[in-house]
Amino acid sequence: MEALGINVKIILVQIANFAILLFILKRFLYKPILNMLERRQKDAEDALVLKSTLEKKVAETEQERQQVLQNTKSETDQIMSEARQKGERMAIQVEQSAKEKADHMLAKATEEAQNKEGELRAELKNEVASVAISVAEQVLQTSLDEKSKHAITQESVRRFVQDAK
Amino acid sequence: MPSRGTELADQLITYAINQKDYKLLGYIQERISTILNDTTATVKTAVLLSNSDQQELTTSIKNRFPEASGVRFEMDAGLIGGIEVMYKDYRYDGSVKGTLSQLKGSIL
Repeated sequence: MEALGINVKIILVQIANFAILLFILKRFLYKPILNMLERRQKDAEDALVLKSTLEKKVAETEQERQQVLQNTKSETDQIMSEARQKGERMAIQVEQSAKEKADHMLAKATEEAQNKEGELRAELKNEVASVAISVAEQVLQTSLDEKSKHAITQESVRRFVQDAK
Repeated sequence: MPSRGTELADQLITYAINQKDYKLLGYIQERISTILNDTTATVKTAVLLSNSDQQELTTSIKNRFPEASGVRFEMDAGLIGGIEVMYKDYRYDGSVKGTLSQLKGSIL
């Protein structure tokens, strides 16, 4: 071996040194690094899980938001529809009420006008009749002579006596 | 439908009540009482009646109203012609004026 230039002692020392170095490295460097890597991997996995959870949560929230929006829109549409229907009903009622009121006022005015016309007609009739009778009285008073008045009076007496029988 | 006379009476009584004219109400009551208690029949004529006509009317009135104590004859030229007989609430109007008044009532 020596002839080949190989020093066994040195090789043994080198092997021992290498073993010691390997032991030290394994004891103080590899293990912490591996532990750290494992932790980081675990953190990464946790982060991924968290990300997935958050994404799912975001998706759910979005879905809920869409649902709320949809519900809100439906409710708004319903409220708007009801309000529109109510408004239309109120408009119809107001129109109907106004029409009834106008009809009532018109009927009342017509009735009052008719009553007034009737009163005026009756008044006029009364006036005309009064004037006509008054004129007739005056004409008869002046045109009838005593003989005619006697004749009328005697006829009246005759009728009364006949009625009394 | 109330007659014209009834309407006038209602108006007069309503007027007296509204005006609180109790004197007028008393007078109306007194007049009604006087008319209803008067047992003398009244005959108004447009012209003077002959004695025979008066006698005939008196007999006729006595036959119709035996409780009548007498008949009073009055002249009223406003009747134009005919007679008007009144006894208590009975009234016979055979005058020209009455006939015209009835005619007016029938027109109205």
